[in-house]
Amino acid sequence: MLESTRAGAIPANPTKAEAAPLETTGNLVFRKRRELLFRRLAAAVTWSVILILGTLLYRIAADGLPWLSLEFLSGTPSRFAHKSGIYPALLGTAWLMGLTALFSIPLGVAAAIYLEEYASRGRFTRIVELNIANLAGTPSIVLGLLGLTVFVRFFGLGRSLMAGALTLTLMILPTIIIASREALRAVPHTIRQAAYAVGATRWQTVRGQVVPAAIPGIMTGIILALSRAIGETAPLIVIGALSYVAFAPSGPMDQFTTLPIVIFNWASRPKVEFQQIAAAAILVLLTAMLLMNLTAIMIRQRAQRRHRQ
Amino acid sequence: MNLTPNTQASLAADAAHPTVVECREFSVYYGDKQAVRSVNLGFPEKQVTAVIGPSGCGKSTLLRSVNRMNDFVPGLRTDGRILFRGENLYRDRVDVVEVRKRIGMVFQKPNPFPKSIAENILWGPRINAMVARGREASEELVESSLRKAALWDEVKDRLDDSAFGLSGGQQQRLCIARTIAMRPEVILMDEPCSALDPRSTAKVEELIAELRQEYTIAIVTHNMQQAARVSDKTAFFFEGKLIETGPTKKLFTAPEQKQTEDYITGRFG
Ligand SMILES: Nc1ncnc2c1ncn2[C@@H]1O[C@H](COP(=O)(O)OP(=O)(O)OP(=O)(O)O)[C@@H](O)[C@H]1O
Ligand SMILES: [Mg+2]
Repeated sequence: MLESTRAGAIPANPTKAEAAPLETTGNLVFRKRRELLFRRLAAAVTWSVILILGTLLYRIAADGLPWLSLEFLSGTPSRFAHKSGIYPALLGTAWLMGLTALFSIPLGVAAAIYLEEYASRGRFTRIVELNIANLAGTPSIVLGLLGLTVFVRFFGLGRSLMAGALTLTLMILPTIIIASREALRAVPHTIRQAAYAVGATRWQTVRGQVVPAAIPGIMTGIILALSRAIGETAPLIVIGALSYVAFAPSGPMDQFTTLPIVIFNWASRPKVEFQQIAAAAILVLLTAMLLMNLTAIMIRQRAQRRHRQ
Repeated sequence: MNLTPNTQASLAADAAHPTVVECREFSVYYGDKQAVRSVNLGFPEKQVTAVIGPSGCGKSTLLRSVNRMNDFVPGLRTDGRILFRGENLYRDRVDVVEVRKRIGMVFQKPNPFPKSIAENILWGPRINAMVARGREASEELVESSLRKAALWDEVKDRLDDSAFGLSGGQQQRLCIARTIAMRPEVILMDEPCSALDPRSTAKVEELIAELRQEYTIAIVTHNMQQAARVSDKTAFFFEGKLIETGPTKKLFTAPEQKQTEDYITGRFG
């Protein structure tokens, strides 16, 4: 009795086995077709992007590779393309990125930790969040003007690496903060509870458990931010980075130029040779960026290996 | 104070098992909603006290109040007292870190730290400066804690592997080992077996019986057989109120309240 009512209420098995063939039919045909279509579309888009990038890279490599040499890396700019080198710009970029990382990473991660782990949700946090979002949306050239007024003039830093790094810090800080907050938020609540339950203070919990578990996500944000900073030109030109510097900077208060600025300068000259050494400088810049990202990815993967499995 | 016969029984601790933790007229509110209603309940030393009752009756809320884990819940308010060895845990200037060092907790879902097995044990003692520097002391603590949690034999060759590589049951025993490593006086367990299979559950139950020699244990469980098996004392809650408490044997064989009887015989809840 019980059996039959149950079967009557919910037909667990079709009464006629042949009514449900195992081949694709009806609605499933349509769904499968749609899935195939979508997969092909996604593949087509991916491949066209790769193709475009590949062409671009090929053109640059074809133009630039013949010019790459030790003299090019260690030389100073010149009126003649074949005597030109990028040493001051290369060091300028290295210094600038080093200083920017030095300022922006601790500041950004600390701000994220504060906002995510300490600040109570109130008017103050909302205002800070709004400002961060606005800063993220500010065109970099505007930040350059801000840097010019505040760092170069008001704080009297002059057209120095310091002023440049601080301006770039302003520019990438929102990215680092937002990504780090996201990463901190993704750390499961249960881990925090476990930490508190063994007698950890809030700071010990954050430092010993939450931040280490969030490192991979934080590193991703840092990679994105620094990659953007390394290619930035406009704000640096606004604050007065020079395009012709014969000497490499030796300290944070020195004047400087960077690879993107030199590339911009060379690429805008009419002579073909200069276009070609611009391509060579682009290759150097790309390599530098790649090395920087590789380092960050390695740190990220070490953290991941330690914390997941 | 106006004591019902029930609460008198729970307050009258015998000499061998003095009350370690004692709730007195203790209430918890989430905003306007009262989740724990004026509870009087004692947890005798080196005994297992089971807390049972239907879902949502405030068991977890009460348990989390004992080691002040509820402090993190916004909008939560408490009333009354919880005495820990005679001291009110809710008076001013009680250091919650100190409280949690002495009253450990095992959670419903295993929540090992995303670190190695050994690190899971050592992290708490280390940040509280409870383990001497040097490898020997650390290794000793790891081994003794894992042994007590009946996990040593299964993991002794992979102490440096991630704790996430363990099975659910092993992870839960690791969490118990992590709690033991802090040498707490009381261990609170909130449905420690609900995510485990029968074999792991049996292991954890054996473990509880073992730990009972040294620790005062409070365990929340939905499993009547489990409560009957592992506990010395049982407290039955319904809608935030303590309905009945007493020796487990008595409560399961001759409950005084109709509600208790209905619940333990599975007629509701
Ligand atoms: N953070 C919270 N905010 C508001 N109300 C809550 C919160 N946590 C629990 N409650 C409410 O308090 C009451 C008691 O919850 P509690 O988690 O203590 O029940 P429980 O007995 O542990 O239930 P279960 O057996 O399902 O775990 C429930 O009605 C629940 O909805
Ligand atoms: Mg619960």
